[in-house]
Amino acid sequence: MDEPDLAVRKKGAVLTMDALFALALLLIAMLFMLMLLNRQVAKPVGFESASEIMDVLRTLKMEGLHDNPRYPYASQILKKGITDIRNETVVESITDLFLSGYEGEAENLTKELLDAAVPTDYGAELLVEKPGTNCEGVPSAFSCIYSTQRANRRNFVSVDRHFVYYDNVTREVRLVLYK
Amino acid sequence: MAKGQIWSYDLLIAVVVFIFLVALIAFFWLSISSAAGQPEGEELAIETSNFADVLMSPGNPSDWEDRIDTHDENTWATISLLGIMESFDSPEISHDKALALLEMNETDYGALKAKFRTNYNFYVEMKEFYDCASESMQNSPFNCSARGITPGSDEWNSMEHFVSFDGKNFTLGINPDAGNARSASVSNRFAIYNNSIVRVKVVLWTNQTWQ
Repeated sequence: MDEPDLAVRKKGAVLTMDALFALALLLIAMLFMLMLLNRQVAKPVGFESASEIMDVLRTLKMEGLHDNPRYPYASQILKKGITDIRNETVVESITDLFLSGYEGEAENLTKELLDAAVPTDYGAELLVEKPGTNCEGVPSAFSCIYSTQRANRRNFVSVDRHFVYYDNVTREVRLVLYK
Repeated sequence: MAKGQIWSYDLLIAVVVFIFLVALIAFFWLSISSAAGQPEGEELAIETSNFADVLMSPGNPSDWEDRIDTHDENTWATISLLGIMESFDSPEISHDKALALLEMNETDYGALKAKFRTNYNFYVEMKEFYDCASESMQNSPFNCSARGITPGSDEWNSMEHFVSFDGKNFTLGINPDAGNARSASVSNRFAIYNNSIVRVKVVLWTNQTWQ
């Protein structure tokens, strides 16, 4: 008579322990899920600069710089009529000049527009998709149009891209800001 | 010794309870950290970025400058956001909006601060870039001398100059140097005004200590 009673008690003990264990695991899993959901995502700050500068370069027209006393070099280039860039945006003109072989003019035009505008604790580079050397002097698929090296280190801050169509090829123009 | 003594229900329960308690403590720890807020420096940086986002937008409503009297803050209630851009699609600054903001700043800085919904003090300046000594600048109608910049002075030699709206330099708020700022956060934004690149510098600052 005792043996069946003992068997029943053993069965009851196993069932209870398993249930408790399962419940505990469920609670732990729920807690971890709540912990993960409760984390706040920090908003990245300071990354808008390159996109805004590129926005400005692709909105500003060369025509608008003509006879603008702030940009004497731009006015000079337009008067020389080196290439037909009058109706283009600034970024198109810079790229056009560079890819047409007027690399010095492209660099100087970019320098006139960006040198003073980019804060002094930032470095800036403008590159175009054309095999050559990048702004660090390394052979690359991108050639360096303009570079201002102000930071001792190159900690990447932000980048933006624009695409231009030159010589039946779509090419990427890249602006990089670093600290 | 009976088999399976190392593995027992007692041990199992103890492990489960231990893990449960660790998880509970970790959960409450993180909850309290979140409730206490982010580090103050990060909060200031985020708020500076948010302030700059609002400023570099067209505002709401987008024709807000036509709906208020900039000299009477009682008329400012209908505006929810103050921005100086022409539109969301364009990086061009609106002359009328910038001028309106300048006038509102002269009327009541405190009310303007409340309008931007910030507890920090703010300072905004807009600068453009040219060489006062260049021939083109000297021959232009808005040459530096005519604007009161003395030849040979620091401002004359600098490439950075305040953008002027109807004769007023675009600066809003209180300069952090003048306010003895203890902490400040800066956001530089870029736009176009008068076919020129301009840089809008937004500074949020406080002279409170963080404890």
